[in-house]
Amino acid sequence: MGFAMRMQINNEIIKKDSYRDIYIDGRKHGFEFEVQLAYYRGHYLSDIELLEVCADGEKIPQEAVTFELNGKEMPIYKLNYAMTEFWSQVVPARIRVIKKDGLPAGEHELELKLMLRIPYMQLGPDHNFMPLDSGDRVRVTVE
Amino acid sequence: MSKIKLGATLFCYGTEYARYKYDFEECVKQAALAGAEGYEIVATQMIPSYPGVSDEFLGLVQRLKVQYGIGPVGYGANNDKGMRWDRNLNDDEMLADTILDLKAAHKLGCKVMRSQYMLSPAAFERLAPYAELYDVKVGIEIHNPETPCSPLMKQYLEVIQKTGSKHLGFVPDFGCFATAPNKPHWMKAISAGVNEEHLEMAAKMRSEGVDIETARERLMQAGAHPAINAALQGMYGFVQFRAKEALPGLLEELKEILPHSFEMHGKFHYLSEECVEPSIPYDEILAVLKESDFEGYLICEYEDELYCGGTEFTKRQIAMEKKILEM
Repeated sequence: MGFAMRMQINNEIIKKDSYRDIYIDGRKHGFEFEVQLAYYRGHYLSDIELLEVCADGEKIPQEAVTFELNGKEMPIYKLNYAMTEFWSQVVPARIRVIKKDGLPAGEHELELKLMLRIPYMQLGPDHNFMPLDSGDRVRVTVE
Repeated sequence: MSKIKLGATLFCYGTEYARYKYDFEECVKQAALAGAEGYEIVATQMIPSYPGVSDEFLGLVQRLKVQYGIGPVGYGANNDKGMRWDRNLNDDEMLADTILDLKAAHKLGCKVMRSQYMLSPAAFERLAPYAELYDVKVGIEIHNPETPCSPLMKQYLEVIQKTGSKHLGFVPDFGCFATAPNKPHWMKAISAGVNEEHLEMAAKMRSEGVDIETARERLMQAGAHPAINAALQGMYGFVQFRAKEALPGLLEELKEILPHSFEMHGKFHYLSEECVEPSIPYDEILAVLKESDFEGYLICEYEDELYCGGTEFTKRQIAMEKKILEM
C-alpha cells in the first residue's frame, strides 16, 4: 500500500472500555465497541473506503458487521451511499459484530481496518484522493 | 491605513478537542483568553449538526458570546469534491454544497467564509449572487504550495474581476510565504532517528529545485534513515518553502490581491518563547499588511503537527502579532 495519512490526534481510536459482548436470546453471540475517527474533522460516511474487523487475526464476514451512528445502524455496503450521514470527529460510532458464541473469556486482539478518502485533498486530476488510515488494533480482555 | 483585528481559528485547539480535553465552550474561552477578538470555526470540525447549524448550537454560540465576549467571525468551509465513492462531484453539486455552507455561515453571523480551491473558478463565479443574498464574503484560501499570483489563483482573480462582485475574493494563508523548512517536521524526523545532516541535504536539494524522486534516491544513497520521507514529502507538499530571495516577489503578489482579501490566515507551526516562527517571516509579511488598506481579521491558525495542543502557542502568536503590529 502507498502513502496514507495517519493523524495521531486522538488518545484512542478504538475505545477499549466500550467493548461489550452481544447476546442473542441470552446467549453470547458477538461483540461491539466504539470507534472515534482519527482526524481533525468529521467525514461523510461515503468517504469510508474500507471497514473490516478482525478478531485474533480472523476476518469477520462483512455481512456480520454493522456501523451505527446517531442511533442509525447500517450494513457496511451502505456506507458508500451514506452521503448525507456526517460522522463528527468527536462522536464515536459503534461497530457491532455477530459471531457465534462470541469471543471466549481471556485476552484477544481486536483489529479494525478503516480507510477513508480525505475528500478535499485531490491527488492528480482523477478520482484520486489522499487516503486516511483511521484503523486501530487493541487487546481486550473478555470476562 | 489598515484596520486589523486579531482573531483565532478554533482549529488551533484541535488536539485538545479531539482528546475531549476541551469542549466547544472551552475552545471559545481559550481563544478569548489568548486575546482573540473573534474566532473562525471550521464547520466540519466543530459544528455538531453539520452541514446545518441547529438552533441548539446557535444558542450555545450566542451564550458564549455574552459570556466570553467573542463570537464567530469566519466560517471555514471544506469543499469535499471527493465525497462520492465513484466519481468527483461536478460543478453543479459543488456549488449546491457551498450554498449550504453559505446558509450555515449566515446563520452563525459570520461575514466571511473561507473556501478551498476544490471549488472550481467556474462554480465560484456562479456562487456570487448567492453570496450577495446572504451577505457573506467568500474567499478562496491561498494555501501553500499555491501563492497569491500562482496560475491557479490567477484564474480566481479573473473571476473576481469579471464579476466585479464584492463578495468574491481571497483568504491568503501566510504558510505560502515560508522561506525555511517546517520546524515540527524537522524535529519529528530527528526524534525518529534521522541524521540532521541528511535533513540539511534534503532542504538544500529542495531549494536548488531537485525533484523529489531524485532527492529521495540521493538521500537513500547517502544512508539517510527512511523516516526522512515524511519530512521530504512536506518539503515538496503543503509545507514547502522558497528561497529567502523569493520573498520580496511573493510579497508583491500579496499586495496585488490584498484589495480582494477578506481575511488573513496567520498560519504557524511553532513559536519559541521569544515568539519567532522559524519558517514563516512574520516581520516582513505583517509590515506589508500594516501599510496596506486591509480591513478585517488576521486569524491565527496553529497547525499542531507536534500534537502538543495549541493553547500556549496561540497565546504566543497573538502576542507576537500585537508586538509586530504595535497594537
